[in-house]
Amino acid sequence: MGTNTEGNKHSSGLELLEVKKLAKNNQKHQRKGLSSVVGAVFMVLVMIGALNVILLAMRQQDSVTQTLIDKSSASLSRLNEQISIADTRVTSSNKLNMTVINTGAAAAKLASIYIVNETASPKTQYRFDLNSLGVDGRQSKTNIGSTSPSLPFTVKSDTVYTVKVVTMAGNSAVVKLTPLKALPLKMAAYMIPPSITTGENVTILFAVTNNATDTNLAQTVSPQISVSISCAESSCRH
Amino acid sequence: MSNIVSALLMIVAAGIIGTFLVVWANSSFAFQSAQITNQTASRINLVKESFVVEDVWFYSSSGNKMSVTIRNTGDLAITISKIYVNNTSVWSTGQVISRGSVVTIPPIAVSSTVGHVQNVWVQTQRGTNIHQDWNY
Repeated sequence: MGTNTEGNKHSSGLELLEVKKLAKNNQKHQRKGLSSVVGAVFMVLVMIGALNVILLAMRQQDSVTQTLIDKSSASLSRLNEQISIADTRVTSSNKLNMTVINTGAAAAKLASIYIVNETASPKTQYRFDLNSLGVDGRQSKTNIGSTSPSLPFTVKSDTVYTVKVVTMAGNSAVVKLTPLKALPLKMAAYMIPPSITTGENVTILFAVTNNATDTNLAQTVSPQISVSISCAESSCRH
Repeated sequence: MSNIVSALLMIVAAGIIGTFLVVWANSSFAFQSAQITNQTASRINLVKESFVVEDVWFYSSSGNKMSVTIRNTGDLAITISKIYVNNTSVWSTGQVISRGSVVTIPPIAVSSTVGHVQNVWVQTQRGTNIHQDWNY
């Protein structure tokens, strides 16, 4: 019995020793693991920094994309505005009176008007600001130059002008303006019927042909006929 | 005892190397971030830059001259750096045009022929180009 007890004590002592050894080994491993943890913490810090840079790059790329989208939209608007000068006249107070039409879908903003005196030698040019005058899509703007807006420019009756309107998007429309006296117009009078009898009514047609293809007339053509007809039995004279 | 010392040495070494790594990485990331921000800003400014050559006026006054009227239609000021006529540099003085304003570049001497179409090329400092043909 006693021998057994002593044997038990001996074996329990050995176990204690083994447990101590194991504990010591564990402590060693724990100490080794501590430096790895410290290294891992630093790595995490570096990774956070790298992630921030990646996020910043993505945000910046997004800004560039947004700007490109805005630019493309502006370019499309530019393509979608189509302006032309539909009519150009000179008022009784010698002011320019223009109608600008926008046949495109996008609204146009008129930026400037350039008027060139083609008759002067050397040619002279005038520029006036139209302050972004809006012409909506498929709409027109009238009385440009005379009232809305009124330009401080007086048109001479014997001068040829070139008028150019420029939009904010860079599109332009040009028209040449020629006074009536500077343009040869073919005129002809027709009498219907050609021969008449006493008391019969006669219709006289007065035709004016404008063959000019590159210019607008500055004034409206309004014929003033002063003809006296005297008739004898055989023929009439005028 | 030696185990404790070696473990401490390992921790200190890892700490020093880690600190250096973090400091270097942070400075490198800061540099990269600044570069990305600057590059993006310059690209955005280049895209946002917008101007219109409203008119090129050729005339004779003590030789053949031209004046170029430019409107800044963008959201930021631009600097016109060079003007070429038929791929020949004729002006490089530099002209700042503020947002929304119009500037006529002063008379530029040109060796163009009357009646011919001239290719006018306007370039900004940021690199935007406009090529247009104008009649003399």
